[in-house]
Amino acid sequence: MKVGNVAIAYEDAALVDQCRHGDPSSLTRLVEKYQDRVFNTCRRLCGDPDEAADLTQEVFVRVLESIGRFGGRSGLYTWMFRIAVNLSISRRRKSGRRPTPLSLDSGSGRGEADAGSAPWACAAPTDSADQRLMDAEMQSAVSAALDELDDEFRTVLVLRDIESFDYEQIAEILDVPRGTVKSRVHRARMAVRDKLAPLMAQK
Amino acid sequence: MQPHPAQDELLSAYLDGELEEGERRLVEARLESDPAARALLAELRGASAALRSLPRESAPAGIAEAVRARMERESLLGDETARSSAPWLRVHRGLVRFSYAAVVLVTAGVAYLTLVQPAMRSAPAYESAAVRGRAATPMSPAIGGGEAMRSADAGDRALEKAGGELSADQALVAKREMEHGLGQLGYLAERISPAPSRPYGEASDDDVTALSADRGIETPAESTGDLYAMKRPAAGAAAEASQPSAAPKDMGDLVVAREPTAGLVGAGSESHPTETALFTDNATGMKAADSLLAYSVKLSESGAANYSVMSISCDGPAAQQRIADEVSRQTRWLGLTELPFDAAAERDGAVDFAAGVLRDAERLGRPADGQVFEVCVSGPDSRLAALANNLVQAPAVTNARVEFVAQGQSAADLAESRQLAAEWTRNAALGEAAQRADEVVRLGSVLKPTPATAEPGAELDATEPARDAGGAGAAAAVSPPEDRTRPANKSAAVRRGERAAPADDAGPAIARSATRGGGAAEVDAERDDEDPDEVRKSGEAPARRVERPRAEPPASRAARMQRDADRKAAASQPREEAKPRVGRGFDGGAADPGAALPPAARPATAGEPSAVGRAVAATQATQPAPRKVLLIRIEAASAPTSGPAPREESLQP
Repeated sequence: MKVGNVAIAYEDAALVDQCRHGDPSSLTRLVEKYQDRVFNTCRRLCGDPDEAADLTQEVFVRVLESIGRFGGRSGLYTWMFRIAVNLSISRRRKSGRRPTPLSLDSGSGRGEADAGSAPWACAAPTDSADQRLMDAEMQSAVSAALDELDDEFRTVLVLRDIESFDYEQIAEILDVPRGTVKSRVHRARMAVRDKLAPLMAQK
Repeated sequence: MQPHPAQDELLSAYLDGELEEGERRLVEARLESDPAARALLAELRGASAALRSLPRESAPAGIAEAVRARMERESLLGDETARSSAPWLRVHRGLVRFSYAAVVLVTAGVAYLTLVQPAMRSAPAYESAAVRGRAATPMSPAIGGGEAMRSADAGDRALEKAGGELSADQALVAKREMEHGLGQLGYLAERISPAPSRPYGEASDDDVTALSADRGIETPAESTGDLYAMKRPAAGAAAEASQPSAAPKDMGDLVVAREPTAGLVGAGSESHPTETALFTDNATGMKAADSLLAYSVKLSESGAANYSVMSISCDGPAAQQRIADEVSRQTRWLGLTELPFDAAAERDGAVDFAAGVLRDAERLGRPADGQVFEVCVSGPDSRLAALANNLVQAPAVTNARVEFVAQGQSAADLAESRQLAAEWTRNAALGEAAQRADEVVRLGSVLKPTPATAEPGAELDATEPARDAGGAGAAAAVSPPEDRTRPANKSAAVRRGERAAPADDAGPAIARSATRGGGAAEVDAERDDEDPDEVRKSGEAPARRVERPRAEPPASRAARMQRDADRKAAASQPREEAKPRVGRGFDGGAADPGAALPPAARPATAGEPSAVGRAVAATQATQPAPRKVLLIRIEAASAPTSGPAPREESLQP
């Protein structure tokens, strides 16, 4: 167990304890701690922001309802994200509609892209209107490429490249062997690369 | 040559830093020689970066309020969880029972085939008191694999599904199945001592050694310290109080196991003389242990058992950290104990671990009656002295009863241990007089036997027959004043009464000693029949006596006490000249007039380092410091807390 994960586990364990004992403030803290990550995961997986908000609520309700029975066999956040992933995929399949790309003005990038080494990574924000437009276009294309992936590939990419889980955690969340995660991540990235290739050729 | 797709897969993993060392070298070699691989890696990096650069949105405001409102609404309309799970359990109770038993059996069977059998073929036998009829073998990191992990996962899922819903019937059936399965594993444990068993923490190295010797189990040459962390649930104490005619409740159904490299996770039931234990030294084994442990805890929660125990045994800081992390996590997740162990303290070592527990106990406030916290730590004398110092200052405990039991592998060690035990016990008694503690502290050595310097029995009363398992003991003790001046707390009295039942258990259980390595001996620092006031007035370290039956004539006892005192003086004097004593008692030296007061009661002197500071400084100045084991036992009592509030730093040796 990594030291960072230990610290998270300790914090979460305290939250779980408090939730179990009915501490009202713990519910708020639990939600506030994870709501953005859960929402973004649901957003990327189900594709619709309104549904993602609804799903986020649903995830927390389920977590809190079951927290008394939560055995701690996995970390709280892996358990929570497992619920989020399952709910999102289930909802998406049920609705039968394709996800909608993020709106062009939905936010700024996190600035984590390694623009220097990534030929099609979104560039860092600049003041140039043209550059912003290009970035937005690229983001839209990346979102579309992600959305077109099969569930299993989209899920691993969301968890790995967007939520930054490591392979072990992804394996735990998805309940699949680590080798499967490795394989899926690679295949998913290859698919994204292929989908973005035309855009890059134009660029 | 077209690279295999699997090699390309390695590129993504390489990008993510998820490769083992060997794979990483392979990939780097390929990247050096293969431009196509470099191009592909760049493309993969680009794809990953593009995904990472996607904007993140914040969750809409009001999620928490919406969740709260929904929870409240569902609560008013009916417990959805109960609706969804309880009826299923009611209708399918038989199915659940069967499934549960099947999962346990499959887990046990597969684990046996994949873990135990290979280990038995390849690894030497190690000692374990938890083994019935065969030696436990540590699991090699290479052993284990998918099957065990899958079984453990299946067990996990079953446990999560069952949650706390096990009925008593289900639990009993499952328990039988578990015992059977664990028996097949070879890990079914036995209690250490005959009923009524002794408190958990009093099982010593020597218990393990003696039991191992009885079973022909080879004892490792080097014994390492154990860490125990447990709490007796308050519910158990309540049950005990409400069922006076029931069998004595004790914490003696204990898994004590020694294994030099692996961790032990154990869980037990005081209502059944069996324990579960699983040695692990890898993630697979730990996960399997988790399942079994969780299962046992569920049994405990269901009422089939009255308490559960987790214990860990480790060797080296890394293993200690790993296991302490795991046990802490399990402890908290499973609700076995509410002690939130301090991770930082754990990382710093066993003594700090104990300090963290104490600090947490402080944070929790007064524990409920009957709750018992036990931690066994090891460390240099001076650090243990500092820790012991903290014990009597802890407001979480009251109504002191502080004991030290020292052991030594040679006459010199023994003499030193005696002196420490006497001084610390005296100081503890003083702290007790201040009505600030309710602890039993035991000190036992785990020094490696060194035949070259050992002097078997040299420091002991050679005529004293071994009480148990070949052990010989000489005792030095101070009785806490409260033992007579006011009634001891009920649970402590119950515990003492239980221990007094068998003749062999009349004294502290740790006094059960097996001479090993040609030099083991021990000192039992307990003297219930001494007047502590006299001891205090004398200003000297308390005299010692050889542990004997209580009917021993006073004159004989006094003569032996004098002999022992003379021996102690003779044995300790040369060592003191050769090496300054460190960590002597709580105040740094018996000659200090201030030593007559507990540290917290002494006025602070400007510029004077605290006892803790002195102890730490002494630790740093002494090389090498002998490592000993300190067992701390804190039992909550109903007596009101009194005494000054401790300083926060006082809990950090």
